Amino acid sequence: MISVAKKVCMVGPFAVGKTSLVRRYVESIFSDKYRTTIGVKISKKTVTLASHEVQLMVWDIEGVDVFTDLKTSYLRGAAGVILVVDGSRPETHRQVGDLVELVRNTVQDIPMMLMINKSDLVSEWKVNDEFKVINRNLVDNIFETSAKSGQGVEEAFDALANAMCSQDISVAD
Amino acid sequence: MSPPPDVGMLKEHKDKEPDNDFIRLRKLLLGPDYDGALNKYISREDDAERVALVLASAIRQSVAEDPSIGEALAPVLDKAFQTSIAQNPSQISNVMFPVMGPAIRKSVAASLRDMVQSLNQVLEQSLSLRGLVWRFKAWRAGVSYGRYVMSQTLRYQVEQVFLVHKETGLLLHSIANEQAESNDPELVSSMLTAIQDFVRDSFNRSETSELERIEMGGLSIQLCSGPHAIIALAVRGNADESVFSIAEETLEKIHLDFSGKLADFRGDRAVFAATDNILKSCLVSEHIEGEEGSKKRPWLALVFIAMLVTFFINQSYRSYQFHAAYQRVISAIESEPGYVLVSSKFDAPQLRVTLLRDSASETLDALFSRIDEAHLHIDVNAHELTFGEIDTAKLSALTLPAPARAVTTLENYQNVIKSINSTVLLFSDKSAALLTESATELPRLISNIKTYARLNRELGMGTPQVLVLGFADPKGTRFGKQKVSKERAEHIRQTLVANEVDSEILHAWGVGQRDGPSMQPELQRRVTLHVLDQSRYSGLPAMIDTRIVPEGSQ
Repeated sequence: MISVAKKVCMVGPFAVGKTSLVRRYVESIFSDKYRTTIGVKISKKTVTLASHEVQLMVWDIEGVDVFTDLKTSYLRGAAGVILVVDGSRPETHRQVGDLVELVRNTVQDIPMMLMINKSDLVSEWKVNDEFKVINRNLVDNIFETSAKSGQGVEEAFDALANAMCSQDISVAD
Repeated sequence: MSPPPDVGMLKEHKDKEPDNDFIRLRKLLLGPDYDGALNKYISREDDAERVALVLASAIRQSVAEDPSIGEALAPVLDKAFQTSIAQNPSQISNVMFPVMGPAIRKSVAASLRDMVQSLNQVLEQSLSLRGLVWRFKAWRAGVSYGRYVMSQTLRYQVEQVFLVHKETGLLLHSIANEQAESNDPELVSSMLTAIQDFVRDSFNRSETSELERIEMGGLSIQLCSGPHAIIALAVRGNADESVFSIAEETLEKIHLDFSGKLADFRGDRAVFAATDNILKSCLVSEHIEGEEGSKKRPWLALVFIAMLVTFFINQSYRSYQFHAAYQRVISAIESEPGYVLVSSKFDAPQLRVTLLRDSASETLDALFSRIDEAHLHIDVNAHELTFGEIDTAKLSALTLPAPARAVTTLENYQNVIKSINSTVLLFSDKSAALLTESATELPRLISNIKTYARLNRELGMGTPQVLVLGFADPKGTRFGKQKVSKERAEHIRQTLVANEVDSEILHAWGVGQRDGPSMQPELQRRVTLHVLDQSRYSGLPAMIDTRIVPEGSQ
């Protein structure tokens, strides 16, 4: 069993649930109180995969809106990125392309997962297949998640951890 | 370099090769390079052979000249040991067995000794005055006793050392001393990088500028940055420059030994466990030296204070004894038959007694030698009386105080009037401003006038009336003198009225300048008060009594 540590960044528009997803994943807690993140909040979680034990240092970066640009310096050295959008707010969907480009300009060739969050809000869900098709090529995988119910959260992080480790192996080879 | 003649391969080659023409052909083709080419071909193994011969001495020489070879070899040896142990664990346990026993015994003995020592220290610190004071101060400051002791005895201490990968902010390795209150070092290290990014972003600093120091309370984080890694020191107290230079040296050493691994770091931190020993050199601390010397008790002052206290205790004890002796003498005289104590006064350090004695009683000397054991200073004024035949001459010589006499209301009234009439208030030049010494007389004057008015009514002396007369000095015009004298009288009248003296009884007059040329001008600038004495019209005894009632006889 190889033990490695990896830096993972959560990126996305504001109020899509990045902090809630991290809390759900790391502490298994959900609270529907909204707290805006300023700067960055860092959490730690260890994932055990088939061949690796991966310690994820999750950098929960403040949300992006018209007033706040993505602070790319936080992305430096990241081994994987999770992009989060809000399934009930189509305006957040339109930011995916720009954000992917920003991330790629800073850290190339790292696995990236897209989380469409708030899947528990069934009546307000505004995700069509077209959106998934457009973005399928930009990211490694797309997950519908809910920080409230926990749906898809663990799967997405595990997929990212696997992708990061298999990339290591391919680089080593 | 010419090849040695006995090189095995060359010889074998020659022996095995029967075709000398072939060799000649090769020599013709290659010329003088033939030997060199052969040499090149065989040189690698030849080198290995020659290095093998000198390897041991080369290592020895290298160690003597540059001690860093040990550090360079350490990771290799670690790996070798690891592999060897993994392959054959029983072998290592066989080798270790004779070493382990004594080592364990030694370690146990050392820990026991440490325990006894620390117990002793704890007892010393808890039971000594300083320990108690520290405990109190720690409680007051809200920190643990141990931390307070540390803050008192340590100038600084590096509590934790983090080796952080610069690019990712991931922790490569960290060490801490036992006292450190360690939180999750991985989070700390990531957060330090994030703070650095945050500061850079927020203040538009360039990529090359580095965060060097974070301070909070007594703790500071010192950051030392290299191309691939950062060393962060958590320091309690005030560290000096030497700590940073140690950190810098350590960082340089790590970059030297692990440069490849730092550049290709992909999250595998196991290799950096080998930095443990290097990082330990950063866990330094400095104790406050000469603490006892610098905080010496002010012995001289303490001795002085003690002497002072002793002196005062002694004095008061002696004074108490003296008074007790004095009381004993008095009561002895009082109880002595034939003696009458008339008065006694303690006038330190002398006791004055006035007494009468019966000429038939015990003599003075005999009495005092009996009752005055402490040999006090006693001034005796004794009057001898012979009972049976009264000696009038001696009786008249008695200086007994006059019997106290009650002062009547009338006499009081007369005294108050006298006091008011004798009042003279002086003013400064050309103004109605009272001189300070005169102003201090006002309270007494006010009280006197009020007493006068009250007694006047009590005694039925008619209407109380007081004239307030203002005077001026010879300077100035007649009109001016008149004016200022009026102002002075009016000022006093108003002051009295303001202090609740009945305005009906006061009459202010300015009389200008009235005094003769021989009177000093400063005494001419005055206000005097005059009570209109109506007693002679009231049918009461006239108040021509000028006798002064002795003070304190009431």
